[in-house]
Amino acid sequence: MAKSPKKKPKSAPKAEGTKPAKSPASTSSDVPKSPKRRSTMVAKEKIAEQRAAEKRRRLISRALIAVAVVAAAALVGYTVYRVQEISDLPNPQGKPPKSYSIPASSNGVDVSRTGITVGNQDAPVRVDLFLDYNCPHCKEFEEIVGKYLDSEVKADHIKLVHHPIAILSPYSVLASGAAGCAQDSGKFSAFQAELFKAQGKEFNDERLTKLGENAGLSSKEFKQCVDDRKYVDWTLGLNQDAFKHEIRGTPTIVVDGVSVSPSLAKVRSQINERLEKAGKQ
Amino acid sequence: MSISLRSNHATSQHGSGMRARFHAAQTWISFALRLLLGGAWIYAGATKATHLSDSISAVFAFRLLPDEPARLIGAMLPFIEIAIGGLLIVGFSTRLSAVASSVLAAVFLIAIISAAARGLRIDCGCFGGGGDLAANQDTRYTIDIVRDSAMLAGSVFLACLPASRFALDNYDTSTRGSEELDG
Repeated sequence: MAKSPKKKPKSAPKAEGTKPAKSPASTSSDVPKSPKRRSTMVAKEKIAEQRAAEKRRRLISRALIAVAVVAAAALVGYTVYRVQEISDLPNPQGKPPKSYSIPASSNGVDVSRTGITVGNQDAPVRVDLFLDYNCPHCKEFEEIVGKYLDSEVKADHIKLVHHPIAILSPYSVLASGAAGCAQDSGKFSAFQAELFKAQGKEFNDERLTKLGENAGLSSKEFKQCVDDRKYVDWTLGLNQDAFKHEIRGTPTIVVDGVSVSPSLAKVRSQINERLEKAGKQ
Repeated sequence: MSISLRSNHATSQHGSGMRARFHAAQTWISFALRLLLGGAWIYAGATKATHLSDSISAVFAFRLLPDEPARLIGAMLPFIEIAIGGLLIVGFSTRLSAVASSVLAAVFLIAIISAAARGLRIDCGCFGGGGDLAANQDTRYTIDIVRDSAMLAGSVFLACLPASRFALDNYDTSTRGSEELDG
């Protein structure tokens, strides 16, 4: 609308509409005759300009309000973030530092940077389990195949290497770290059973401590270990090691270096096959 | 406004009739887009806002950001989505809200495409959930990409033609609603 005043009369008929169209022939005599009309035209332009300015102002103020609404929403998110426990959730994809502590080996269970080994070290067959405590199919696997594997461990047929990796959720990391704490007290298996039983809700520190009590871990040391997240870096190390071995998901079951589909029949037949071969040697 | 419309009508009846008809149809289309996009954002935001750890987990899984910013974005994004969805539904500052919607959809689209290109096996967490997938789960990148592209296209349309029916933008103290539809 910022036209120069000289151009105004020319564009006026088009822009302003009906009034000039009534007397189209009176162009020469029009100007001296009607100072009133001219002033009304100027007034109209002024009103139009005012309206445009008003509209602009309104647009800007609305945009500012909209920005404020979005900013307020972001602030709500930030506040929730500060208040809830989520502000220090571990990243499952995080990298562990070069040196970190690992759970203690005890009760005939051997712990390393890559896993927790249960059973006779000299057993003829090695079975590796890559499970995530938040993975529903891992829970199913434990329910169906777990007992069979335990019996094979007891029979000294296999040694079972647990890799409690954490790829599904930050809470998987906390759960796996807490399993390390349980291992410190020699109760890895009992605690793992509790974890799978309780799967579904978020494994926060408080809940993990409670699950520990269910597994008979009511010592101060266990609670302290969970609260300090002592073995979270160990879990991140397990993740990295699993990734290096191209473990791309859970559950992954490896029998003597061969990946097996997680059904009781497949796992059993593979283990029996390996046992036969070992027996023949 | 009404005066100038009438004079245009007199000079080129056909063209302005077409234009008016398109304008009328477009305001309804933009209205529908506002509801669809706004509804989608609110739904997406609400499912994530109630499970913020999943939201953060999803941002982690894309492996695009360091931990601290990833946590912050995971926590704030759901609420921002709800706010933008709300603005779109009521039609307040529609153009700006549609621009924000476009930016958000574009960011998600880029993130998903980059995840697919890097061969990550993740759930985008677009509507809740999120994180890496278990071994037996499949990625759904194609459907995610199609849906995000549709949301981006709708948002860009709305940003270009924000005038719509039943929008708060149409109402103000000085003029009555329908006159301001040209936004």
